[in-house]
Amino acid sequence: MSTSKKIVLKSSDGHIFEVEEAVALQSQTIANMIEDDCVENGIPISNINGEILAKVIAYCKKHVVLPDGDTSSSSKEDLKDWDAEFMNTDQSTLFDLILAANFLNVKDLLDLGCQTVADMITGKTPEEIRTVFNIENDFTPAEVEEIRKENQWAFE
Amino acid sequence: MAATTRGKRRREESAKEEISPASSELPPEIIREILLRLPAKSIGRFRCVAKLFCSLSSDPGFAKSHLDLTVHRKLIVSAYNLYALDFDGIGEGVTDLVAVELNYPLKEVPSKYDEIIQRIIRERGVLGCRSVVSDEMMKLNTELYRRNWVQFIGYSNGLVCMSPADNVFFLYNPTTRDSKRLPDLARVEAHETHGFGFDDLTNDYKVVKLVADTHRVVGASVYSLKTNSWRRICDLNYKRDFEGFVAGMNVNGAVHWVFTRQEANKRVVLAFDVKTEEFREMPLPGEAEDVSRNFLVNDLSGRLCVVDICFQEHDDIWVMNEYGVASSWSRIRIRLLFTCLRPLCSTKNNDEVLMEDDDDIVLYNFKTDAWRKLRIRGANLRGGFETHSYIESLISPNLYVVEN
Repeated sequence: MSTSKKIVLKSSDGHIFEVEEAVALQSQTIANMIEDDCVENGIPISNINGEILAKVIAYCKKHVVLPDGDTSSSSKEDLKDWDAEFMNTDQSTLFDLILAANFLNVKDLLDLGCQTVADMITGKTPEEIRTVFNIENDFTPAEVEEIRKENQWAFE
Repeated sequence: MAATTRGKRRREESAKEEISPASSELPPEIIREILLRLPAKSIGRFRCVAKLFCSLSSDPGFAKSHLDLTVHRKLIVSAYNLYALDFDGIGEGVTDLVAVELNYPLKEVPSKYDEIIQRIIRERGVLGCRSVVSDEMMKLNTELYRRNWVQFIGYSNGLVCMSPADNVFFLYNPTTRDSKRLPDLARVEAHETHGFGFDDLTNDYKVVKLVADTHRVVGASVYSLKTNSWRRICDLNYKRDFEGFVAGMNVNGAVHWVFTRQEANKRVVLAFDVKTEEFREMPLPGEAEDVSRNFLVNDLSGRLCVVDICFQEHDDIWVMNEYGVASSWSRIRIRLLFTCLRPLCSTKNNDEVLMEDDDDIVLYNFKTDAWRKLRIRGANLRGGFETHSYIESLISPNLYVVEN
């Protein structure tokens, strides 16, 4: 009986996480490092703090696909509910999770995060969007008017 | 410990309601991923947020990715006007659909009957109306025919091909109202029929045209959006049997018609492969080969189907379960009498299919055989109508990029 390999991850603020290889492999970034065989002394994740890294690991644990192709014990419905609850958090954490998923290249988590933000902003006004993303309006009022005219169909 | 957890939860709950400024900024590639997951209208509205949002969402590559990612299907209805119908709420027992009038090219060009209708309305005014009610009804009915009928050629990959006037064709996006007129071609033969499809190998939209003289289908030409030109492909030789030489149906990457062979007097399905631009024949089920009956090709949830459009009421359609496999034709009996039936698309529930029958749009459940008519508000369909399903998209026929 072979024990599965464990990968050690170190967050930016010094927290150590020991995860099963199958869980870690969901990060394409880590998978590439494992392939390049540079994981002996643990992998430093210098731009993700412990709190967020813990959450990403929790997601990967829940979504692990076992070697025999069987998904974790949860049914598809349960996973959906779990994902919804997982995404039910404050905007700051949500954005950090998206950035972490992007850096670690966990595609499903990135898609989930982006879809969650999309659902959240669908009905908002342009001004509210600027607040959410902390963006300045770099259009002149005349330019804004012209773009609105070109996209009149979207306001009907 | 408990106090801080409670406090944190309360803060989290209020954070969800209010819009808080982000503590981390998302890079453009992630903003693009978020935009891709929005409905088309939201994307249009957000273009004025900032230059980044506008540039990210305006390139053709974005439109293509968006089409693949967010599938929001609607109906477009032609009834001497064009309307868009959203059927999203149908699953939750919604019975009424609201038709939204669309702007489209040549919409305000009066029909050939317009002058006559105007004169009738004027004359009734002069003679004095017999009753207020009949005058109102007269006005309603005559208003209907003041515009030209819009003919649908087909829908493919985000665009509709339609003809709002005789021998004039447009590629049209019902979502953004963007349109492109196809180069006019002088009409050579007496009769034409068309089909529309997308070639995903060359990323090109194509319109195929079959021409016929009084008795024979004689040849085919194809239009390519990338070259914006027509070219003749080949000669054909089939009988031109019935009036209403209808538009071909796009299923599985090919446009289909039912024609009769010159020799053997047998009906077959003629398929035009949009990629290879070649024609091939497929056999019909034995009974459908009968040349005394007229069959129309349709798309039933991705499967080729043929419907007999005779003037007697009937209740069956033939479906080709495995594309191209003659032995896979099977007959489905429908608990609905019709002279003409056109399946449109399935709803979120895969057993339910929206269909156009003689007078209405019907929601039919193929598992339970239960069906109901849908009430359409905002459009007068009593003068005749035709519908087609389409997917909301940002694809522009005018900004078509040549490279993949």
